[in-house]
Amino acid sequence: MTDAIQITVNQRPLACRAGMSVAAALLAQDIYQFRTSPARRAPRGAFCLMGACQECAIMIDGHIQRACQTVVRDGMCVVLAGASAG
Amino acid sequence: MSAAPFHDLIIIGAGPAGANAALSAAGAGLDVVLVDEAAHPGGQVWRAPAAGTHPPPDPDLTRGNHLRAQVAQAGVALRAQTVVWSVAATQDGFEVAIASPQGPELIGTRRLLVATGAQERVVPFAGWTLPGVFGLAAATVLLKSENFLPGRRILVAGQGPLLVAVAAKALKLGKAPVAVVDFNGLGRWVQALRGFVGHLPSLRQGLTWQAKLALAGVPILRKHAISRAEANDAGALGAVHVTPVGGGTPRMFEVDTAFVGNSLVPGDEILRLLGARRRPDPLTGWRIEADDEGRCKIPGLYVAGDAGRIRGALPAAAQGTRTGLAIARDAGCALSAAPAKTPRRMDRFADASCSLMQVDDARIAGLADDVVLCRCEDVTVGAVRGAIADGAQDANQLKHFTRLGMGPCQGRMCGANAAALLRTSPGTKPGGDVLTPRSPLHPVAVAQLAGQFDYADIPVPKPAPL
Ligand SMILES: Cc1cc2nc3c(=O)[nH]c(=O)nc-3n(C[C@H](O)[C@H](O)[C@H](O)COP(=O)(O)OP(=O)(O)OC[C@H]3O[C@@H](n4cnc5c(N)ncnc54)[C@H](O)[C@@H]3O)c2cc1C
Ligand code: FES
Repeated sequence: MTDAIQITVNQRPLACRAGMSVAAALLAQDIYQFRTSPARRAPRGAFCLMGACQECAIMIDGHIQRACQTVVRDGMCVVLAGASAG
Repeated sequence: MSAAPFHDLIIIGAGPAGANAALSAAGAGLDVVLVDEAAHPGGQVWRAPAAGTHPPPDPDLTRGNHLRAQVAQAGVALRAQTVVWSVAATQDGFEVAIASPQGPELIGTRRLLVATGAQERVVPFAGWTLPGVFGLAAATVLLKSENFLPGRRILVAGQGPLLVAVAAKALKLGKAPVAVVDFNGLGRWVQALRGFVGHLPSLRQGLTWQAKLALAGVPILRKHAISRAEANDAGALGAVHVTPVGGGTPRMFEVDTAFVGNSLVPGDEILRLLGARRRPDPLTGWRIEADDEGRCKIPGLYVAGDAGRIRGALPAAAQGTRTGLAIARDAGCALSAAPAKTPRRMDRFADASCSLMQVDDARIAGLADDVVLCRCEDVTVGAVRGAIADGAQDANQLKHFTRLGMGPCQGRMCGANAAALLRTSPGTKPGGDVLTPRSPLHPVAVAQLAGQFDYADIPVPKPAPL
């Protein structure tokens, strides 16, 4: 793996390739559940991967951002609320 | 506030439609700003691979690379990684609110071209909200940008040309699908062939994919659909049940990943926010009212590509070129060449593709009460039926009764399906099946600007101050 970088997901380190989206980095580690739905607290993960559904909106570096539209950065801090990080 | 910078033309969306429009308008002498949320031009179909990813050679990649080189050389101001979150008409044109890594900005323009492409439509089933269920077009995004698909045991389901494409590409990555579940029967494909001969390279590609799947022994269940999905112990996808269309004994497949998609619908929120109207279209559900060269009824507003009517990549590119030239002509540029029409054979190809992606209202009307319709707010089909029985007559009333479409996706995922439920329910208002779009169009981008929000805080956007 060239350009390997590290992000943290719920404080655990996760190795990934520079350039990939946060959603792809999580999915590549079999992390499917990103959050829970506000109404029923049902488990949810990325769905459309094109920025439309907002299912992948998670806390990235202190802001709610769409994981499918955000590129990983070395040292990035990802928090999956209500989800176990794999 | 100082006046926003003002341009001849702002184009929203740098896919085949928007980028080609930019090339022809800039070539005719206009000052053009091309805005896209993605890092590079290309749109959904000619998407650029992520840095460090090397997907196998592919005609879409070649076309995308060519387009990106052209845009880089033309005098087009490209604003990449920039989301348009609101638009408004002004006295002399339009004001476009954008957010980029540099922060929020307002830019003004005399003319506005909306080329925002399509969104995927999925026919819901019980369990489609489980982590591990993804869109089918979503799979193409991962394939193109990351050359990757998640999952160990995957199933591909739905309808349309993307079905075989995604299944064959999964196979190539060493992830042979457990099954391909096609809503259409072979007869529909044979009918579509007559249109598919309009673009032989694509037809050849499709047949090769089918052959490779057959050789690998991937079962293709025709006239079948997923009837429900079950969770595993961790609360993610564990299995899907697949039932013959029209009823029959379901078969269960244990899978951790399912890619499901039925159709594409125009991503037309920006157009409708500015007052453009939808018109029914027998093949694709609806289209945005515009003339042959992309002029909407609103002066200065234009549309090209799938944002106006689902036609696919090559027609989108051709229409982009034509609309770019039309805008230049409207702006008073002297043009040497008359814009070419989209060739008839391309139209036939598009019709054939769309014919495989049709979703009859009756399918949505037949969904069980416990199926979630609006993912953002967990509103079920039963709740929507209840609201209609209680007197909700149109989509906006449905929103107030149930919160459907009020969440952060603003009805992008549920709008077409809610409309089908309304149309098939007695006592509802004819023509009232469309949710009124509101800004901010992308609430998350605004949350990003405004500071810390909890996800649950996002759903109730106020009209944006412009
Ligand atoms: C997820 C997805 C995957 C697809 N994959 C394929 C495929 O593999 N093969 C195929 O033949 N067809 C595919 N299609 C069909 C596709 O719609 C057309 O083939 C083609 O891409 C249409 O071109 P276009 O220029 O009209 O729109 P698009 O190519 O969709 O381009 C629209 C652009 O607008 C940008 N945009 C949208 N809204 C905003 C906003 N608010 N702010 C800033 N930028 C914005 C998007 O980032 C995108 O780059 C796919 C469609 C979708 C939705
Ligand atoms: S997965 Fe839909 S917005 Fe990211």
